[in-house]
Amino acid sequence: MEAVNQHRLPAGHNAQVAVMSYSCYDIEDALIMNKSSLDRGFGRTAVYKKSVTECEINQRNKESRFNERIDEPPTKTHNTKKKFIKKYHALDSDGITKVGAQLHHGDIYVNKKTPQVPDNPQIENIQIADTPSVFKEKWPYTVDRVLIINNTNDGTEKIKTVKTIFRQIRRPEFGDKFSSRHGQKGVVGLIVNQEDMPFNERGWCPDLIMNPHGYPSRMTIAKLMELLCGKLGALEGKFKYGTAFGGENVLQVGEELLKRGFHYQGKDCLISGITGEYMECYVYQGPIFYQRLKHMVIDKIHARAKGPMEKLTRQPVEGRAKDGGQRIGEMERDCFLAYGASNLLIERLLISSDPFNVYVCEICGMFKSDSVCRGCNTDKVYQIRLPYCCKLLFQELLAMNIKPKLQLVPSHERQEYTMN
Amino acid sequence: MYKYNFEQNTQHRIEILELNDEKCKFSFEGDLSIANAIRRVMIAEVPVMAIHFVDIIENTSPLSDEFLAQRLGLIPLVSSAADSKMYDWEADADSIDDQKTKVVFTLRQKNLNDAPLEITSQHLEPEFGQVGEMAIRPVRMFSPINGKEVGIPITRLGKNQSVHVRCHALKGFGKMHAKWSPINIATFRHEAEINMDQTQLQSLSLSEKNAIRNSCPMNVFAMDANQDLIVNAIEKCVFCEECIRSAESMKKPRLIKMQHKKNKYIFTVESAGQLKAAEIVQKALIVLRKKVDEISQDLNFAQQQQQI
Repeated sequence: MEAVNQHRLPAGHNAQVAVMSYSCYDIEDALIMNKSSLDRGFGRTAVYKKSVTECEINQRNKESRFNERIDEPPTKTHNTKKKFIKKYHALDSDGITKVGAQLHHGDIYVNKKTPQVPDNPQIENIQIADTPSVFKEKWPYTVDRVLIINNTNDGTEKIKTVKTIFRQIRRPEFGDKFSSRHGQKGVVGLIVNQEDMPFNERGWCPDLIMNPHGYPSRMTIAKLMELLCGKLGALEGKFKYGTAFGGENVLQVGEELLKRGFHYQGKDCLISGITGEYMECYVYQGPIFYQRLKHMVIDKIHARAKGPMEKLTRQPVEGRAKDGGQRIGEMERDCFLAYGASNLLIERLLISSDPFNVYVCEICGMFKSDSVCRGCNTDKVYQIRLPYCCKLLFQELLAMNIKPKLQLVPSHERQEYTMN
Repeated sequence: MYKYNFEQNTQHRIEILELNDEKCKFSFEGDLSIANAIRRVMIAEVPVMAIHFVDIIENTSPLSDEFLAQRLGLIPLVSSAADSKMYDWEADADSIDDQKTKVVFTLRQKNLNDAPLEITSQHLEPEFGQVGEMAIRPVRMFSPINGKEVGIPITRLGKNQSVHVRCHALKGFGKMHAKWSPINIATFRHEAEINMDQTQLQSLSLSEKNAIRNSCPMNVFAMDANQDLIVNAIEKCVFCEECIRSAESMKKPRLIKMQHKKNKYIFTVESAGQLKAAEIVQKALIVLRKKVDEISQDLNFAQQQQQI
């Protein structure tokens, strides 16, 4: 602590912790937070993101008029579309975003232009393409700082580089991760109003409630000691050592607590905020240093209705960054099967994924491009619907000289399958 | 299991034990559910004013805009006149009269010196000139060292840094945000009831009695003229049960019995500065009364509907 001056520049708070069970939203290491504490600034963090926009010299033609440049935003005229002009709302007249502007998904923050080098460099009117920096985060950020650098290249040309820093102030919410310094991490399971929180007769009220099930298996004795020593330290106005390797003598700490009118084991009699009755047990409570971890719900939350598809399989793409879908995997499929939800299965695996209509000849069992099979010289060609990636598989098999033959059966003659 | 006792609870009594602007301590004789309701309303539903919207015109201070706004919001404003204001949503949207719903403060400071300048709540200037006791203004804070008036720190400015903001204070209550909560502490406790078995007590030696007396961290026990152990300051008891453990160590586990006294609660209310402590209790009771009235009106209405 002293060696790295961590007591002067801490990265967290001394949370008032009550080790007790509350409302069953605290199972599996989840924490209960006091809403009033959050209002007052508990666990509030600023998240900064940096972005660099560089103007480059065109490698094909190093003339200055072919350099990338930052241009002023388009002005509003009677035939510009509202949607088009809205993207540029954060820009100043120099084409760079204002400090303090709020950026949403899809907004432009540096209006960069790239001139196209024509085949004949003598041409006066060159085409200029829009290559702006577009804000990609899903939730709005505020522009914190803008840094403009003029690099001189070879002492001749001035090339602009714009560095932008975005800021977002985040208040703890459900699912944000917190940890004490004993590896006891947990997510916020519930945020409770102050009046519902337990309190003691001195008016003390916890910032955070932690479930006692975290202790027995982890055996974090130091956390118990930190709480006890922290409680005494707060009363005395002194720093205490809560380490299990040396540190304060717990028995002495208990006696000191007793002298100050507290239970010598650090337990207190709490009153339920909901009913006003005394709790039937004593609750271990006191300050523990808690830090906020960087795993926050806002960075991970994701949902989509329709969106981008994979080019090859025509199925939804994967991953949050690409606005992907939620995969129904093999085990999930097994659940639908076991439940007998066949229509749901069709809907998830075919209709909402990659439905494809294709003609199949009844005789040769191959895909056809229209309703006539010229090879078999027949018009007994039917349209069927199947996943696009199934069609892809058959074609790939055909490419390997394996013929998958489709056998068509009219739906009314379909065999009913039974277990035996 | 808790049960409301109608016969016992017809009479409610309040006795004030300690009263000044910041703190109010009183005993309440009556039902637990009512006691807890008063406490909850004091925390969450007594309306006061607090800065809610901040227009940031210039901010080159070390703190970010959001941070500054949050700190401004948490400054307690003297809100005895909050009753004369309307909630933001109550006001007629067509004819918005700012004076009816809000108070506006401006904060405009620039540091031209080398030394850092501390911006405090004293620098907040009300826009529509208000004067007197009822003015809605930041609470005054005095230094504990020399008694001088110091403001609540908001931020610090380095050389050539400046802050220019416009703050709109609105009426609200603690359920919406903790900044609208007028209390620092609103708590009650059940009075203790300590019964001592007199026959067992007689069998104790003087040193044993002294040991029990000294075991209590809050000095609840005392010795009377006959060198007998008596309960002297029952209101101090915090249910730590040290005396019981002390008696147990003397092999007399049933000597002392400790209970929560039913139907008597000692409240402690400490104000955060917006309202006087007694005002908070009074206003909480008004809010509670209004809620009860609403229910009884609804019940009456439902009864009438049934009769038809």
